[in-house]
Amino acid sequence: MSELVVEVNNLSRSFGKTKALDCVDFQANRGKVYGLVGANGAGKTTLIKHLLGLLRAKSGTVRILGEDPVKKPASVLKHIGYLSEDRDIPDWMSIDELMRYTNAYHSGWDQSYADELLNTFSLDPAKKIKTLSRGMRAQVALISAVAHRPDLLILDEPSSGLDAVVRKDILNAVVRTISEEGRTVIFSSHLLEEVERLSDHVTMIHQGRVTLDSSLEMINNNHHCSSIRFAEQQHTPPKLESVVAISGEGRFWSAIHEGSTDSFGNTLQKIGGEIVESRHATLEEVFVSKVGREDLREQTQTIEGAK
Amino acid sequence: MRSPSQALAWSAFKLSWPVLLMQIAGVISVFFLLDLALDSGEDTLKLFEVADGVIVIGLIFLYSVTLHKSHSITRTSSALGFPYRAEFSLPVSTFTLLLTPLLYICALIEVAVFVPGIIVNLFYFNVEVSVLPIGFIVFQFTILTLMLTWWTNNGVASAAGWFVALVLYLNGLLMPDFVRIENSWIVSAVNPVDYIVALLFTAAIFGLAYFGVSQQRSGETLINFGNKIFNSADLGAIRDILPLPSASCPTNSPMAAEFWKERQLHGAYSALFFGLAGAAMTLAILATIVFFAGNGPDPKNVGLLALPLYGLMCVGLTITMYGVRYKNGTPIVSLHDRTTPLSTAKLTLIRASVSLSSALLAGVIMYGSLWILGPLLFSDFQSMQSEFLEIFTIFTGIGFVDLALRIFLSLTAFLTALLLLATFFTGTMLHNRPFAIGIAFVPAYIFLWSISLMGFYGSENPETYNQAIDTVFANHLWILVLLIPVSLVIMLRDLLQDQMLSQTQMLRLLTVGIVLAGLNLIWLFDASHYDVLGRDIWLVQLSYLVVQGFLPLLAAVLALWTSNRIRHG
Repeated sequence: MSELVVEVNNLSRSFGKTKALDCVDFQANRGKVYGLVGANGAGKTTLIKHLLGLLRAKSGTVRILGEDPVKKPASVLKHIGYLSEDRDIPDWMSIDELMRYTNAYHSGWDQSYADELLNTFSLDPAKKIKTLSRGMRAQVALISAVAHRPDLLILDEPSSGLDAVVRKDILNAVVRTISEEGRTVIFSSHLLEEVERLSDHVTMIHQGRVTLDSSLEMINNNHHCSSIRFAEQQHTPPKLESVVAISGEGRFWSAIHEGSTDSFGNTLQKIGGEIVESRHATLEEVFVSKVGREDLREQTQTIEGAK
Repeated sequence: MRSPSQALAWSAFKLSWPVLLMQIAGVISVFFLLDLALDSGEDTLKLFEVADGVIVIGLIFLYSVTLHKSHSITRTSSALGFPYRAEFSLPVSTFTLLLTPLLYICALIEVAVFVPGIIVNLFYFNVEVSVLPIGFIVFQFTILTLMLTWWTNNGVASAAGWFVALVLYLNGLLMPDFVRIENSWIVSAVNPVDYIVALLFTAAIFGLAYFGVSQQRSGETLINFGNKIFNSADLGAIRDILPLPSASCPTNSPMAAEFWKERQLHGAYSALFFGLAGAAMTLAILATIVFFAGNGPDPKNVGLLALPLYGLMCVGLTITMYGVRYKNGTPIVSLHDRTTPLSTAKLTLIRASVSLSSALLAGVIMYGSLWILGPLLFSDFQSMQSEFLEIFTIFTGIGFVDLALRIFLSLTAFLTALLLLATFFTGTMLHNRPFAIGIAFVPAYIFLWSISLMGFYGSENPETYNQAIDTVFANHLWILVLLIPVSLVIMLRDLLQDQMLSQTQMLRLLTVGIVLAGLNLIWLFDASHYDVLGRDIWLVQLSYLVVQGFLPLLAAVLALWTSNRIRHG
């Protein structure tokens, strides 16, 4: 079987005048965990919908295990486990009925695994789904997504709106899927700590474009947060090529920058500055530096426009 | 927005204007199309004998869509019935909360009466539609129905409310007696004081509705008994309400599992519920009419009442075929449904076959129940039966093969109509604005043609005018003749492109379509039907053949195409 589970090439999609995806390329290999991060409306869910065949690629191509999910929905979806953000499962069924119903579609359904997860989550199979709390619904939806041992598990905001206990349960089940079975997982999340904890690879989407697509290790190695001291007062933020975000005033500044600390230190020296302290930037810092600043600028423009 | 009422009315308008536009356009289209079809001119008055009825039928459509939509917006498992339930928490009085949507929907419906009525009255100088009386009838019908629907979410209390209103109506307390002015189609109330009486009783019912909504707003309920009955807010509710055995989901194949799911949602239990409900409603209305209306409608004729009620049951059973529903004013389709690992063609086949079979089964249950229970409740039920059986005289006195052919073609036509109707409703739910604008285009186009014809030939010379209309009609028939095959080709091409159908499947589908067209051809060229529509011209026959023969194929392809669009955007 091919190593490439997901292959998206040059995918663009517009809704009216809004460009939801703009020339997106994305690949996912077998056995890896891919975190999709981006602000609200960045295009993460649109990308996921294309992967599931819920949206037709207007330009570009989408292939899951080598097949087009729009042209071959049945054979593609058999290999996918999907947990939607709003835990969309049939309310009128009981948990047991949902399990049996899902079982019918997947030859690889593992009833003992499903039972084990039901037991772990303390779910009564006879209960109707409509009587369950939000957290319990999420747990049921997750079981139906993972118990058939899918080749590709897609989780759209798996922790959204859940309390810490349920979130932990869900993540543990996902971790197990990843570690024990070597499945490919794609998940979108606002909780960057979660992404950092689970992902091998991070794809950052902003305004429909992929702004960062790299392994987490590379992102960690390539982004630093440094405290800088200048010999003289700086009235405006110093302009440095590798800096993606900078804040501070006077002589003391804090910068998120790309590349090694040494080369940044050398560049800094040329304009009379030095690194006081440096560490790897967290994913959240990288995210805010790449996305947050533009959002802030846009918001300011909107407010000024409104005035 | 300067006030909460304005805000409420604005939100209601934003949700319903396409339906209003469709209604106005639809009514005007029907007028013009009928006019053209009947080779108008001398027979205009005859045409307008059905005009009032056409308006009312259109309004029932508008009303049912609006009500369905407003219900669906805020359905919750705990409360159903009041369209603005989600707005219970708004800082407005219950009076405003109740009155604003009531007045808004009534105003909407009045616009839908007056605009087409006035256009028709202005355009056809010698005929007048009775807009004022119709406006009043429709106002009463709308406001009473809304109030009786909203005042309680308790099934038993609701049924009691409807019964009281029906009794008041039959005693002339909610509607004046109308009489037709001689040699015209204008109707007026026999006694104008009846208008005031009707409004006073309506005001009293408003008081009841106000009390009910106040109770609901504070989370109270009149009685607990019957709370779950008639509450079909959740899919599969019927299975939960009635203590019926349910089969467990098979796990041997995806098709079997999907078939099980559809049967749980729209299968035999739904058919049983709708069939029995239809029979109960028919019997209740018949009994009330027979009991209270001594000089009212002839019970013999009201036997036909079961037909429109069955039509409503069929719509109820098939409207959710594609799984589209409203949530917070937006049409949605469950992601779970859309990600079911089964081909779209198989999903469509299963969903359509279950829904359509249920519609047929509901008919059998409804009419079977009426046939059994009717004689026990009504002494003159036999006359109602024979009136109803008149419909089936078209099947009498013919050979077995011809009989089988007629039954088959009638059944195919009925199922085709249901499938097209379900697709149409789904289309309006998903794309209400383009649909509304598209439908509005039709009367505008016909209106321009009619104006042009009148300009060229004038209404003073009926013969030339009729000939001109004949020419236009014949030429436009081509649109219909071409529209079906062209749209079939376009949709089939889309389905092939998406590999939704394999070439073999497509060939099979086309073969079935051609066989149906062939059967229609046999029927058409049967000696006794050769003069179908009273016109022995090949164009009309060709149109009939294309429309009647290929509509089933079109309905099937349209269903597949719609499912494909819904699933893949």
